[in-house]
Amino acid sequence: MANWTQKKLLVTIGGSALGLCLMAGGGIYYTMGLVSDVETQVTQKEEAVAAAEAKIKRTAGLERDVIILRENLDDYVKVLPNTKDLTAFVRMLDQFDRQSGIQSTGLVQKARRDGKGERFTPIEYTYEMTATLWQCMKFMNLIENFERFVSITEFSIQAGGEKKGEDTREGDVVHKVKLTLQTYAYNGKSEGKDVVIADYDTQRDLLHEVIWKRRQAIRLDRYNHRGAQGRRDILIDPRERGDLRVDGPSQAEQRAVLERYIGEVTRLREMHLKIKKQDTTLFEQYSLEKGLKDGLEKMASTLDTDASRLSYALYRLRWAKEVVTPLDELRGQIDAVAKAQPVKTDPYLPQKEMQQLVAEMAADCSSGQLEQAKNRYDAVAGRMTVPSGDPRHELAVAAKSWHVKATTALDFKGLDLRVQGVVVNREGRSGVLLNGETYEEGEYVSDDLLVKMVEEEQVWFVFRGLTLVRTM
Amino acid sequence: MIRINLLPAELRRGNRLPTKVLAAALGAALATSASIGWFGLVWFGDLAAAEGKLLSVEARLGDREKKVAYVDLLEANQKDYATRVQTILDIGKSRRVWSKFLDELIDVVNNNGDAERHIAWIDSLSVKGDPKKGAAVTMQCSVQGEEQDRLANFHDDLEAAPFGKEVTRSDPVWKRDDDKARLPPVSLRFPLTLQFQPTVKEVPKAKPAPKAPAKK
Repeated sequence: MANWTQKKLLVTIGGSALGLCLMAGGGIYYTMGLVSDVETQVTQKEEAVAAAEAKIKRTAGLERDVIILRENLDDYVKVLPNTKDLTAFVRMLDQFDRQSGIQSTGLVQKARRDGKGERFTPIEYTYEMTATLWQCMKFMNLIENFERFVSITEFSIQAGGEKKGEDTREGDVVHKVKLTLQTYAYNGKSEGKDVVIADYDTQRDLLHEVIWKRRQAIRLDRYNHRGAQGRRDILIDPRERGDLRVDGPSQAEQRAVLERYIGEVTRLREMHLKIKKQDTTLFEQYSLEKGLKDGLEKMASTLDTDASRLSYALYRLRWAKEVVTPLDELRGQIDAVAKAQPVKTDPYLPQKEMQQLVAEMAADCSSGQLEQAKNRYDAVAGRMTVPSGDPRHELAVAAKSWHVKATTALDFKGLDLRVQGVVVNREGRSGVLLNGETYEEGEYVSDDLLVKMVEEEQVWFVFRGLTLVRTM
Repeated sequence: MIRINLLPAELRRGNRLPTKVLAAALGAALATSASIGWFGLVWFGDLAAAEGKLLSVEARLGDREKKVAYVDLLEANQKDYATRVQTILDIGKSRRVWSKFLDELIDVVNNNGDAERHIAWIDSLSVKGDPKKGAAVTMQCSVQGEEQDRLANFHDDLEAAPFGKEVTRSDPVWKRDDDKARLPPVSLRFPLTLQFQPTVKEVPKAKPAPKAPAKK
């Protein structure tokens, strides 16, 4: 080396330095690559951390959802039967048979899918029966209102009654019915693992209201079948059969009965409307109420008998709709009004009404409307026994007095008094020829009837202490 | 001429390290030191810092993995329950209350006893359920008399019925029928189909992703 030339030395030094620098540069480049890789990993991991944090932030919401869903699912599945319930369902069918009156002829289970690992396995039965339309509808309605989910997926009704002498029940024709009933068996344990949520019970209690609200979503549609309500069986030809002798009234007679009742119902309804009007007086109300009550009683006494005379399906429906239903409504309205009336603590007629009663009775008696005056008092008689200490006592006495007068006058009017002639004596006692006998003024015709005065045109009597005039 | 240096070797001028070489060696040493120093800085500085950061992030991620696994389980549960609940809701909605439909149909046929509008009856009635297409009600009906407007009235009343908007009716057609055993003997017979809409609308399933070719 000592003999190396300067040039050689310079080349060696330069070369070595360059080599070392290049190595260091390579190392730097490599390290930078490593740093870049590590930074990429850091970025990825940071993104993963951010994603994890975002996910973790949803924990509370997810827990809430899971609790609500789990609780509701437990409730929802109650509508689906398990194996035990299916046995109970068959027993229930028997009960429905008896409730509806149908006669079942067969229950066949359709081929059941294996359903291994399936949470919901459909189960189908075909149910055959004979039933009237109303029995069939009641049975279907009972099935559809059953607490467990059962769906009628298919059904067919073959109308009966075409041939003479075919089976009837309660007067209705029996049809052949075939129903396909479907339900689902629920297998809650098929797969999956339920996550354990800390403090589950407390959280569930806090979410009680939300759980309840969501639970309403599964409420199955229910319907209450209305029954026949006088409607005719739509599977029966309603036309008259010429080949059968029909007992009872003809269609025209049935129509007359129906229309008579419809007319009467209309009259009673109008009467009821009048009662409700504000402009009617107490006494008008009384007579309307009495008329309505009498009308209803009269109709009720003949309703069932006449109803049985209507055999034509179309008239039976009109009977139900236009007679029975309005009559029930009318009765209901009258009962409701009676119930709604507050209990009166004052047993006597208010003073104002009593004054009105006295004035109207006086007017009636003056105008000769004795019957009306009597009726006015009779309508409120129960509320006229006012004690002497009550300020209305005088009015009650006055009303009673008018009632006595009216009643006496009416009784007098009802007496068989035939005035056949009079003898008027200006100087002394005049006489009257009454029912073939002569009576002088001051003579008694009977214990409570006295001839008071005889004039040319009229005879004055005293009847039960009341002076009354009989004109010739 | 040949020159001979007779001085001892260490005193000879020509054997001293030349300045150029010295400068080159110094420069080389500096460059090498700088390079190696830079490398050291990058290796022990940047790389170590990045690795430290990575370790820290990994530790943070590790901390969250347990919670994330819990959330994943919750999500799986939520999805599973939601599917089951939806299935039950669909089952519940899939049911049509046929006793209600029959009650309404009886009202239409009876028509409050209005014999002027139509007097109709049904000879047979069958219902077939189809979850995809909806249930179909097939009837063989008749109306009394030979006036076609009675049949039209009956169709109008079916349309106005509570179920009228849910169904598609078959078009009115008829065939005269004479039954001498009945009074009046003439009636118009006609088939009638009421097609209900499906109770549960099917959501189209997402297409499955195409399968990757099998590796050989």
